[in-house]
Amino acid sequence: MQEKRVELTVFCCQHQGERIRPILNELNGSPGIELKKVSLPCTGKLEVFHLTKALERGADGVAIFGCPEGNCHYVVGSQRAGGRVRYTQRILKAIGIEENRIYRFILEEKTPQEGIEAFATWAKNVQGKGVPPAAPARSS
Amino acid sequence: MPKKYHLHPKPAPPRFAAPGPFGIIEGDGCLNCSNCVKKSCVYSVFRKREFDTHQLMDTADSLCKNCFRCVQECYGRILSKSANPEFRSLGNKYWTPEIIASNWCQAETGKIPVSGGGYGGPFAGPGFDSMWTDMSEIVRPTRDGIHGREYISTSVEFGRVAQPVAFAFEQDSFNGAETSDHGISPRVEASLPIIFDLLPFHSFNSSVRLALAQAARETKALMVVRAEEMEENLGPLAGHLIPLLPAGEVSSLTSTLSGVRMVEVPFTSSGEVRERVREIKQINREVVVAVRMMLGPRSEENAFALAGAGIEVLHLLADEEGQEQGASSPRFIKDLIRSIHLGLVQQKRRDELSLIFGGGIAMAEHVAKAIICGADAVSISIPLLLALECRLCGRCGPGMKCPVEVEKINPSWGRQRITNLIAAWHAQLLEVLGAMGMRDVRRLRGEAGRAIFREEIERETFGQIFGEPVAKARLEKEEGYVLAP
Amino acid sequence: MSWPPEIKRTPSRFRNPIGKYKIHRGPACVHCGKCAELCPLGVHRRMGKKMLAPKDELCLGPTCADREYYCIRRCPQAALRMVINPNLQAFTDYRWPADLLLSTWQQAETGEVPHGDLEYRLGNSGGGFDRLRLRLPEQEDPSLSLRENGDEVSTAISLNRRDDGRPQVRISVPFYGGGMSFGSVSINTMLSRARAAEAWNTFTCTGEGGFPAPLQKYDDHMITQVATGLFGVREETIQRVRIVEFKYAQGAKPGLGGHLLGDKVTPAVARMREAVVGNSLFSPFPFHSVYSVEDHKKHVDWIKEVNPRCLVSVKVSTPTDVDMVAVGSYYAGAHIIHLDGSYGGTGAAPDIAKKNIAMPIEYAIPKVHRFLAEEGIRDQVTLIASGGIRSAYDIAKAIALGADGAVVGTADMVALECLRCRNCESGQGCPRGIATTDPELSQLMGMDWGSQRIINLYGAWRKQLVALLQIWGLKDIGELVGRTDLLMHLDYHREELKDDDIRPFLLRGNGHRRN
Repeated sequence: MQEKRVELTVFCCQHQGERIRPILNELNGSPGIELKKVSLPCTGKLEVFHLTKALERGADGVAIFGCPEGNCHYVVGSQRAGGRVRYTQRILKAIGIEENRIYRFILEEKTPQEGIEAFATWAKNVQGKGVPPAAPARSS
Repeated sequence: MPKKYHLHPKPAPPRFAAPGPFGIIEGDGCLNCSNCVKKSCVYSVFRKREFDTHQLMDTADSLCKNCFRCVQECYGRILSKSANPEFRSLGNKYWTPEIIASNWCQAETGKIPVSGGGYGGPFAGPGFDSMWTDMSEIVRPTRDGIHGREYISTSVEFGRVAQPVAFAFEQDSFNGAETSDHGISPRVEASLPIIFDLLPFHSFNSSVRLALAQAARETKALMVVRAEEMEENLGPLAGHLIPLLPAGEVSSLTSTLSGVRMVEVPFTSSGEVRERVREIKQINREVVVAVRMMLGPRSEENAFALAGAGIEVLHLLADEEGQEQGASSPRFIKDLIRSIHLGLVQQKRRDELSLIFGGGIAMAEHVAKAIICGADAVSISIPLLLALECRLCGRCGPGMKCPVEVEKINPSWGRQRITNLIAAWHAQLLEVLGAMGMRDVRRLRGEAGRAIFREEIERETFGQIFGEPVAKARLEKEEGYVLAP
Repeated sequence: MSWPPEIKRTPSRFRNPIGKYKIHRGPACVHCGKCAELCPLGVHRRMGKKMLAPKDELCLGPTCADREYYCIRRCPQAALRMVINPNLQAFTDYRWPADLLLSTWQQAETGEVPHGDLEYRLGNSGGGFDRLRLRLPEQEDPSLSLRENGDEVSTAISLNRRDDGRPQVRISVPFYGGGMSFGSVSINTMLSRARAAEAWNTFTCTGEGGFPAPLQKYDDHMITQVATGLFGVREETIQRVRIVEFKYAQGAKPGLGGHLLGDKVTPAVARMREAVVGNSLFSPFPFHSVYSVEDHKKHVDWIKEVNPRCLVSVKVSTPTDVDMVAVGSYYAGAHIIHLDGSYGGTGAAPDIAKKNIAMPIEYAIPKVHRFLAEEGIRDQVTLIASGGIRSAYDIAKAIALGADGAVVGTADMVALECLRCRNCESGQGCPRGIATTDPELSQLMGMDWGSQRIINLYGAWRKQLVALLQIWGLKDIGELVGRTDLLMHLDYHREELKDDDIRPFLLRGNGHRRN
């Protein structure tokens, strides 16, 4: 049986770049995990289609790393991101896809180790969920 | 009269949307105005906008021309601009995002980058940014090469200048001038002073090499290729190839050596190199042999020795950022060029060989500046990759996922992209030559008097006014020499 | 015309001005209006029972933190937040960084030195003017110490220093506007500059695109440019003005003539230049009738013959032998030698030319000043410098290095709210309505607004120059010429400089004012 390959898309705001580096390094080495990172000026730039297209492209999970809502350089960007993530999660639920395939992480309250663990736990959970029904066939 | 050299760029759009320097951020609170600023965008950015699924990129970001009108006119104040971290993370301190993006654009259009407003970059910088080129004024007419009004030649020749006297007929000498019937050394002409060097990071595949070789033919340039990678399909293009021969015996390479006009051998030691050259000349005495050597603290010494031994062409390479290797305070390539060129001039040997320098040549202006410092020509590698949309992510290798799938290119598209880039660089070289009133690029070689070097002009002007400057090392330490925009 | 010209507050013509800081009013706000009562700058306004969006371009920023009207602290609901304006990330120009753009806009709005911690004296280019500092006594801040009797200090300069019987021309400020042609900029832009030049008794220049009829009212303050394309050059246009400028070259693209790309050759422009609509216009280079100093003298003589009363200015760029060129121009009969450095503005030029060809003005000025002095002719020539001169401080530095005065181009446009997006040449031209003759885009900017903005900016500059002269105890701007002893340079005067002066320019406000 072919080994399951997990594709994760990570959207990260430019101010969180340093903080997520150890997390991504940790997981990039793991076999069977493929990470695509997209840097954004602010998670407030995320539109719903960023998240849905990422899934459509074949991602098993989409993670968003942003600043805490009180500390966003665009003031309300992080807050908007939260709103858009929740909205997209509701859409997913309505069409029968697991909500937590899209997940927002706020790292500032965690230690680096906690961050790595939280992300790893989530990544493992989305593993094995299979390809979403709407996605085109993925080349192996 | 020989045919004039003109290149014909044709638009070659990229296969992947290129990240732009800025981004547009839209907030909540849209008022749904009937005269929405998005509709009145002068550049129709919001109408043309698409979402690139492959790269998860909003093309509005790169279409936007940063005029800020929508930001400043939106009633709901919901639009903002930002820097694009994907853009800023491209390349490194030497291969800046701006240089990368400019090369992409030149590969797409084949046009000289033109923009409005004055130059918005730093006053000067390290490396090539510490020199300016001069121009003509009033009594020294310029040449108008760009609009075709006057022809400016960019052709160069590699090899020895014919020695007019003393034909020695020593049978065992490897020197072509002395054993050939005419007493004239072989020379190879290229239509512009740029040769294509081996691609960095990775060997890539035959499609890429074919694209490069076809571009070399179209631009009448020469291209270095590893002898073992000269696939069959490159055969007809042999006249534009410079095989890099493996170190060691060359007698088995007879077929490689026929049909090409120039070859390269890697430098190991002066003695070994002389032996290699002798062997090659025995197989094909019309071939010009270049010696490929990395630039380092002993480069001058080696270069002078090789010149003395009759080597025809030296191909001297710095690292990708133009630094010499193996030195604790590495010198930059422009200073190495000057040093080797002037050393040979002093020894009265400068015309006995051609000097090609590579490593850190990132923009068309570097070609002109390198020649001013004393090079006959330059070699480029990374810009060729940039023409193929390379992101300089540095993750090349077999099995690695190239973000722009370089190995899957259609060679004919690749050929057009590289031709466009070369056309744009060539046109810029004409701008510089024209501004100086020169009709031939060979006149530019070593013309340091027609360049303005920052250290020198500072000494002449501020130095005369203010005295001695403090040590550079101290300035660098206290200020970090970081200029963040 | 009143003197000095009236400064009138002229805010941005856009709905949402760009300030250094952004004030955000969160959902906790109950619209009590306390902030509106407190803020003396007018950032907060209340209309009826509701708070309006904050006018944060007026905000002082963190410098306000220790004041008792600091709204962030005083808001009873803690509903207010201040952040540095994230839009400024998109202002990446080193020569005109965000602070310099914003502070020039403020000066164009108010006619005063900007408030708060906006850097208005320096850019971020890391060389030239940006590494020079003015030598001022301890504790003297020219922005704060505008003393009485400013009228006793003269900022006027004479432009005719040859004893040749031609009329004297004196301008009241040591700078005038550089050539920007009709076609590269709109008629409203030209009129704004002309009216400001008239108000301040100085000049502006037509550029090489001919002399449009609406500018004829301002003849006495216009300079006609004779450039290599000879567009619109007729005896009549030469005769109407007091100064004629020979444009040999332009700093931004030496060795090349003017570029006006096809889309900007609108019907009006084509008519003016006697060219074809939609065809790109590339002026030749150089003057194809000038190949020697003798030819040059013939040209100057021709101009002087056609207009017996005008002064002749020769605009050259800055090759290595710029000093020889300057001397040659003097012997050819020029009154004004106008050096245009490599970092000057342009409507369109190849990037390679803008960056690499010729030398920056900061080096050319002392070179030419010294050479002319050695030739014994320095006091018979008016030496004018241009090419990236952005502020009153750049003007002061240019004069201290040896120029008599300066010419500005980009700074005028920045006053009109140019933000250096550098799209001047693309398509119809400037999307902000300044550097375009597209009928729709040109509507974005009115002439009355434009004139007042430049008048205000020149007023702010003049105030700073007067304050500097007062601090130095000088009575006349002419006394500053060549006073390099009043300059310091970061590379040479380390011991004397304060930490604040040395540290590279930073965008982020650190809340305290530097001297």
